[in-house]
Amino acid sequence: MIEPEDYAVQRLRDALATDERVAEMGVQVDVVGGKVFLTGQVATPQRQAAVGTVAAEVLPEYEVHNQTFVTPVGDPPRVEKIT
Amino acid sequence: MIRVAAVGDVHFGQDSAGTLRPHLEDIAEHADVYLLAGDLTRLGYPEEAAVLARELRDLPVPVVAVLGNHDYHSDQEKAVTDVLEDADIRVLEGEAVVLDVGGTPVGIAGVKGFGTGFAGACGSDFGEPMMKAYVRHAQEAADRLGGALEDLARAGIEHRVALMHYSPSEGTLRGERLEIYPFLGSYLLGEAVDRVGADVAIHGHAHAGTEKGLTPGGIQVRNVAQPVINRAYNVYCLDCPPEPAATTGA
Repeated sequence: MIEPEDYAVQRLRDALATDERVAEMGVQVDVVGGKVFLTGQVATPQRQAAVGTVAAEVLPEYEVHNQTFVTPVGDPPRVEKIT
Repeated sequence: MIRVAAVGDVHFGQDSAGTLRPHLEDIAEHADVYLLAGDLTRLGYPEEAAVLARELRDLPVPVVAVLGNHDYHSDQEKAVTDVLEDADIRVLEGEAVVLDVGGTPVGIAGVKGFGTGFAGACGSDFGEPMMKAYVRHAQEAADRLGGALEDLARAGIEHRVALMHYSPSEGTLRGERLEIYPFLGSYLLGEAVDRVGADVAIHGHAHAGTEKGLTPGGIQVRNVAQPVINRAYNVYCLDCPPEPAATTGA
């Protein structure tokens, strides 16, 4: 039996959260037409690469498109008056 | 004037060294205190906390933090806390600290918090033991936050900041999937803040959420998860002088 795509999505989401190379819960996983699309932000370039590696390991039958990006931190702070 | 810098969810690991410090060298020009709203580490290892501690060592402003769910993952939250406190980072869990900012006391009450969801769509203390434990953990966290805020109020501290990891409001979760709100925050936290009062409530955890929101009682809430603010910190100004009136040319 071919695994329904919903289960494949959740299997990968669980792996991205629990695999120590990634440990990211904020990566969105979408499976469309035999392709898996990964979106969202990660903290470092190493973890961005690991997201793609883990996806390829967990779902080898899918073509992986790693569209995550590293959270930028270099812009100056925004200042807001609260009170 | 009290300038509160805040960020959450920096998720430090061994690969994070040097990513934050370069953006903090001039923090004293912008802020009087630096708050960290949990998820300081990736997997909750003390070694990851040590990378962050080195990054924050000898900052010119005090650093106050709460832990997040990632910091509990390896069941070493006490060791994580110890590593951070050894670097003069004050880690709060149901406690408050009072800082002197130019002669004005400002109180920070901090707690990790927990989920359950929001009024009208949340778990109740009913049913299986694990369901009751889930809801009671959230209630106990909210009670600790309320208690810490009450301590500040009783001490006459007028400027109070409520710092937590989980969200006290639905407003700052907009952008997240509605189905996961019960894992992102709890109305119980908002209720505690509203009951005692605070200038602002600051949280992280909701990476796909929104920066600005309100508690049901009208207190300002800010989601400072780094993937939301996309900076090393934002600054929230309390007791700010009025902005000069706009002038028009003759």
